[in-house]
Order: sequence, then structure tokens, then C-alpha cells
Amino acid sequence: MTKLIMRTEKVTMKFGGLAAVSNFSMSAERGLITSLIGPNGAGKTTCFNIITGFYAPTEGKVFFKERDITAMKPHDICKAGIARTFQNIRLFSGGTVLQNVMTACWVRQKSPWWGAPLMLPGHVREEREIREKSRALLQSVGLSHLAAETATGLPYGAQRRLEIARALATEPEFLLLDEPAAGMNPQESRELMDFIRKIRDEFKLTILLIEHDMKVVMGVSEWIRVLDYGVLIAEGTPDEIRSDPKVIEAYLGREAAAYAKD
Amino acid sequence: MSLDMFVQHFFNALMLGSLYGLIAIGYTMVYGILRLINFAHGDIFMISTYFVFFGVSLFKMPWVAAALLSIAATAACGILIDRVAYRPLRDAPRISALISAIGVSFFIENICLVFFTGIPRPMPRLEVLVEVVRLGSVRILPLVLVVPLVSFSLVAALLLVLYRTKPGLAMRAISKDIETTRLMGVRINSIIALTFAIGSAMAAAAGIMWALRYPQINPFMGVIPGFKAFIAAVCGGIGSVQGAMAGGLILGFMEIMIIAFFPGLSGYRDAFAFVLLILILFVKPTGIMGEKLEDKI
Amino acid sequence: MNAGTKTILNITALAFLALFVHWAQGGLDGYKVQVLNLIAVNIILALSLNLIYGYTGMFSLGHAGFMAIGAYVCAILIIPAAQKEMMYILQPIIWPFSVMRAPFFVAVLAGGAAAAFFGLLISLPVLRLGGDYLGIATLGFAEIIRVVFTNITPITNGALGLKGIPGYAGLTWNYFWCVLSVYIIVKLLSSNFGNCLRAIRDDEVAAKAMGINTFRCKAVSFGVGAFFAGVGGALMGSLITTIDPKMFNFQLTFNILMIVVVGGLGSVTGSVAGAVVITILLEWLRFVEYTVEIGPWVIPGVPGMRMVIFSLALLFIILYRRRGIIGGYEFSWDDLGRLLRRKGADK
Repeated sequence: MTKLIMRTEKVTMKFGGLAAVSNFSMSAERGLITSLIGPNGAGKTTCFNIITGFYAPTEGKVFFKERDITAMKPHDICKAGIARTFQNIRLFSGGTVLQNVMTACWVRQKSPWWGAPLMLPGHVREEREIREKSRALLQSVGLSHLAAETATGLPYGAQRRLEIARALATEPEFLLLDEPAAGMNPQESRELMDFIRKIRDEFKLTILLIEHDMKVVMGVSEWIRVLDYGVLIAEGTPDEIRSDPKVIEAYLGREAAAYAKD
Repeated sequence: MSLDMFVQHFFNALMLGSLYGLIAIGYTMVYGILRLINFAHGDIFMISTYFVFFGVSLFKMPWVAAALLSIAATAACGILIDRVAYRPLRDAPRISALISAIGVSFFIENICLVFFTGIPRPMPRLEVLVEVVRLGSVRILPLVLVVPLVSFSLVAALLLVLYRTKPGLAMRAISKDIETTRLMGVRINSIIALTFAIGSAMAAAAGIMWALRYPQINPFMGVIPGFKAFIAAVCGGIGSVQGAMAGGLILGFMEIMIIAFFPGLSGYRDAFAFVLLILILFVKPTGIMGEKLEDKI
Repeated sequence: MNAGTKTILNITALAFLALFVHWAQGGLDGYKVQVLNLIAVNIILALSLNLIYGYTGMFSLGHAGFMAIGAYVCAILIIPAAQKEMMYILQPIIWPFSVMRAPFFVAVLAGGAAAAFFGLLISLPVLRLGGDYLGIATLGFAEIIRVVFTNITPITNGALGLKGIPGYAGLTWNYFWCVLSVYIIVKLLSSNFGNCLRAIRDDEVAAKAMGINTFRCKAVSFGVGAFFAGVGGALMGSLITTIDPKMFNFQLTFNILMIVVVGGLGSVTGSVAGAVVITILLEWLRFVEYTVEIGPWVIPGVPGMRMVIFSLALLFIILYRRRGIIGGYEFSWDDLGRLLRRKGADK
């Protein structure tokens, strides 16, 4: 088993003349929870989009389990074992909570689409298993009582949890969470931290987080990387990052960094 | 093919192409600001000819007066259609407005059928334009030379409006980002109405010139030219006025020249436009002069 | 309500339908039977468009083209060879079309398969386009098909079309195909594959991120939709016994789009209800186009009035009741049971 489940090599993303991400190299150690932080517009979601195949980087490569996935399409990358959530929640608005999770089971489904009209026994059985598996996932995020509700009718925090459950349904090894704590109150954020640790242990995941809520970042991360204007300016343990002057300067400006030094 | 034949075909193509271009401008402007395919635009083209017909035959107006009035009336129709069928759906999913456009198109065609019947009417003509003249050994209608001139002048005037006036600036701003433009205090609905007015007026001019060349008018005469003009707009790059004219000319030349060199294909004439469309959508969907519309993830 | 009870209810409903069809064949006059036939065919057509557009979100305006392919393939296969020889007066029919022959069931199947094959072949390149562009591209294909059919005279008899198509499409066959289509499409849509299609419609980016090969799913949905549109076209050809390229125009697609929109996008029940309502309405409105005598007054028929009323109705629906008359609701035995139980409890 490779120790580094995912790594990027000097990834650069240029839109016209603007470089959203420059020379970004990182690696994710199996089983760790790591975070990617930085001011707004630093290029964090762009990195996610590159890793998950929605953007093709202008330069550089992405490797997953030592396989070059740079040119792979998003659905193939998901099949390979990477799943994600979105900054602006992207649930399937026309479906119920349960259906949202079941849809994500399609990638692992073996029976073909024409199995349904022909009522193949293998198909019927697999559909039942998918339904049960989805219910179990909803249970583990605490949403099983809302299974029949329309997905977009849920309160905000529940929608975020649903998105995570949906991502888990694809049986990933590597999970990317884009601002999972956005819009949560302190109580919910605490529960989220426990939840992230729980799913990492239960589903044997490696997790990469984008997050602005520093409590969550410091509380749950085992390694943090800081991006500013598309460039990696610092990485380290939460304690190291907390007191790194470059990081403080990026977030709060030069004065605050000088203040912190004293 | 003799030189005379070629010259004749060339000018026919130029005329046809500039007419397609004029109609295409209406499509491209509306799509540029509303992202809506105005299915009813071809019927606007048709209505203008009936305005002239009734102006001359019923109200006994002189031809030029009837033509100008028709352009104004057609522009008013364009504004009316937007107000009634598209404005209420500004915030609805785009497909709703599209279906509404299809409904409006069928409505106009059939209400004209009800009132004017399907019997083709003869378009009143301006004699000086439709008497054949001879330039050397080439026999040509003056119309064929006048149409491209008028069309290009109209396009030039429009480009002046777009790039040198405030409403024109507003139109271009809306096509880039409608929300921000609204926040800047621009009265969106007025500018949109103006866009429809200009596009419809162009189509009206095209319709009148078209009917001078092909003098039988009927309620469904706008259907095929309308589709073809839209295809021309796509080929030239939807949202670009210059592109619309370019696309129109390309289509016009394609139609005339291919038939000229391969008369056996004349039955497939109407399909050329659609083949061109498929090719463009496959190869360069943004068209010759168009820009890519990105989707933010 | 468990699955067993539902199956029994479904079979009972089918039995009633079969009895009704059997009775209607002898018991109703020719006009009403024709309307019932049209309803069945329109249900198939509406469902096929709803699958592509309402469920998968692909705005396809090419349905008339698929119908044309289905109608012509089926007709060529069921018209006797001798009759074909006589009919093709512009240019004689070429081999093998002159000798091809098949039983009705196979001919309809072939019509559907041909529609699916050609539909996919020429649409695959444009499936990746979104929204309006797909609409125009598919409209373009329908027009190309129409023009091609008008010109390949040795195969299709060109603008003259085909007359005297054997009228095998009676109530039995039409409702057989109708039930089969409803069954297959409902099964597809209620499986996880159906969830995928809806996901593609709702948010294609998220669908891709969840591992769905959206292109492949779209192609399947498009192919199945085209298949049933071809079946509908084949049945329609045999029903009205005359086909020509001009009748497969945009207005035909518009009528089906109307049914789907009125019934409600993304609802099978809606498509069925819409087909019933619109078919009856279309037929009933014929009277406005014929001269009508009411007592001493003679109201002249007005051609085109039907479509005026129609387009106004469509505009009304799209402006004020966008979700259609059924409003997206989907029929289920559970709901009926609940309704009956509540009514019983009130007593």
C-alpha cells in the first residue's frame, strides 16, 4: 500500500494570463486529515477542480495511488476512488434525500441499465442492497428520518451532511471536503469535527479539507497547507501554522504579522 | 460556367446572404442579451411584408411610405412580443422562455392564417427595382445590387449605435453580465425592448426586400428563412453582429454556389443550412467570431 | 402496501384495459375508436420525449425525425411488394426495399430500432451541447431527415409519400405497444438508472463528480427515447395509412412537446394524462375549422384556428402553470389506497 495516496507535481493553472494556481506540489499521506487554507480567491477550489478532473492543469501532474490521473475525466476519477463535496452545495434538486445517496451508488453498481425492464434477479437484488446501503449511510450522518424529504428542502447544515453521505456512497479512498463547516454554528462545527474523525476511522479514508473556520481547521487537521494567490506559502502542523508570520500576513496583512512577532 | 452566369450567381448569393445576415442580426442580438432563441423572429420577418401589402392595397399609401411604416410597425410588434411573452419569464428557467417563443411563433403564423388565409398574396413592387437591366452581357435586377448596399449600410449604422452610443454600450454590457448591469442602474427592460425593436426593424427591412425578390407572401414564408438565419447567426458567432452578417453571407454563398456548380443537388438546398449548422456545432460551437461562455464550478 | 399487492393491482388494471379495448372495438363508433388509437400512440410519443427532456434534461426538438424514420421503415416492411411496385411512379423502388417484408410486430420493432440507430448516430456529436444548442441541432436533424426522405425517391417515393399502408395498427396493437412502452420506461425511471438521469438533469457537474458517465447515460436515454418515438411513428403510419415527408414537420414535434409540457415534465402520469387531454382537445377542436350550423346561423370554419387556440393554451400553461396540469405528481397505488382509506374513515 502506497504511503502517499495522492500527490501533485508542480501543478499550474492559468486562465488566460492569470495564474490561479502556480507550481503547486503536495502529497497526502494515507489515513491523515489535512487541510488547505488561505484567503478567498487563493486558488483552493481550483486545486480541488484539478484533482477531481474538472480542470486540466496548464502544467504539472496529479497522481493517485501512483497512477497519473491528470488527464482523466471526473467520473473515471471518482471510480478510481476520489470523491468530493462542493463549496456551493450541489445536491440533486429533483430527488429525495435517499435518492441523492442512491444515485452516488451507481458508480459501483454492476447490473446494467437494461436490467430493470427485464427484471433480472441480479438487478433486483442489487437495487435492494443499494437502498439498504444508502439508508445505512443516512443513518451514520443522522439523516435517516428525513429520507423521503426533497433534498433541497432540508436545513443548510443537513444539506451539507447529505452531500458528505452522498460522496461516501461512491466508496472513496480519498475524500475532498470543500468548506464543510460553512454556515454552521459553533455547536455544529464541533459535531462536524467529531464526524470527520469518525468517518475517517470508519471508512478508512484520507481526507483533504478546504476550510475557513480556523477552529475546525486547527482542531481536526494533522497537517495544514496555506495557499495565497495560487502559491503554497507554508505547510506544517497546526501549531507551526498558527504562529507562522507569512500566514498571518496573508490573512491579516503586514501589520498584524509584525504585531504577532512581538 | 460562363463568366456572365458566374457574375449573376455571385450577386444573387450576395443578395441572399445579406438578407440572411439582416435577419440573423435580430437573433444574435436577442440571444446575446437574453440567451433566448427568439423562434418568433422569422414570423416578424413575415409580418412586415403583410404590413406593406395592406398599406398599399388597403390604405392606398405610396410604396415607400408603406415600407417605412411597416418597419416601424414591425418593430412595435417585436417590443410587444417581448413584453407579453418573454418578460414575465425573465426569472424562469430558460427553457420556459424557449417554449414560450415556440408558442408565440405558432400563434402568429396561425393567426395570420386565420385573418389573411393561406392564399399567397402578391407583394406590391417598386417598379424601378424590379426591371431587368443589362450591364454588358449580364442581365441583372437592380434590386440585387441595392439589397447588399442597403443591408451593409444598416449594419454599419447599427455598429455605430452599438459602439458609439450609451444605449449601445448598455446592450453590450447586458450581454456580458446582466445582473451587474442592472445593479449599475441601467433600465434593463427598456434596453431589452430597444434590442427587440432594432432586431425586428432589421428583419422587417429584410422581409420587404425579400418579398421584392420573391413576391408571393404567405403566413409561413418566414419559417425556413428564419431557421436559416438563426443558423447563420450561430455560424458567425452568436452574440456578434458582424458575425451574423458574416454567417449570413457564408450561408447565402453556400446555397447559391453549390447549386450553381451541382444543379443535381437542388432538392437538398434547404438541408445545406442544417448540415452547416451541425458542422459548426461540432467543430467550433462558438462560431467564427464568438466567445466561449464558461460555466463556473 | 407490499410489492405483491401492487403486482395484483397492476395485473387487474391491465385486465380491465384489455376488456375495455375488446369492448371498444365493437361497441364504439369508428371516430371514437380512432381517438382512442391516437391517444395510445400519443402516450408512447409523449413518454419518449419526456424521458429525453423531462427526466434527463436534454431539450430535443427532433422527435418528428425519429417518427419519420420509424414510420417509413415500418411502412416499407408491411406494404406488399406488388403494391410497392405500383406506387413508386417517380422512380422505381430499388432492391432490397422492393422485396423486404416482415410481420407487423417485427416491422414496428425495426422502425424503432432504425430510429434509435440513426438518431444516435447523428446526434452523438451534439449530445454534449447544452440547452438551446441541442434543441436547434436536433431540430436541424429532423429537417435534414425530412429533406433527405423527400429526395431519395427510389427508397421513399419522395414527395409523393406512401399510401395504402396496411392498417394493422388497431386498438389491440396500439394498446399493446402503449402498455409495453409505459412498462419499460417506468421500470427504467424507477431504477437507480432513472436516478442517474434525473441527477444529470438537476446538476450535471455533481453527477460527474459522483462517478456517473453522463455522456453514456445521455446517449442511452436519447437512444431509448428515439426508439419509442420510432415505434410511435410506425404505429401512426399504419394508423393513418398515408405518410409523406411533409407531415413530419416541426408542428408534429410541437404537438408532442405540448403534451409533455401540459402534462408536466418529469411525470409519467402527467404524460399519460396530457396525451389524453390534448388528443381529445385536438380532435374536438377540429370543429372550429369546419363550417358549423347552429340554428339559423352559419359560422364559417376557420383554418388555422385550432393551432391558434393551441398555441394560446401552451403560452398560458408556460406563463401561469409551468409545472403542468398534473404538477409533477406521479400516480401510485399507495396514494390511491391512502385516499380510499381516508374516505372510508370519514364515514
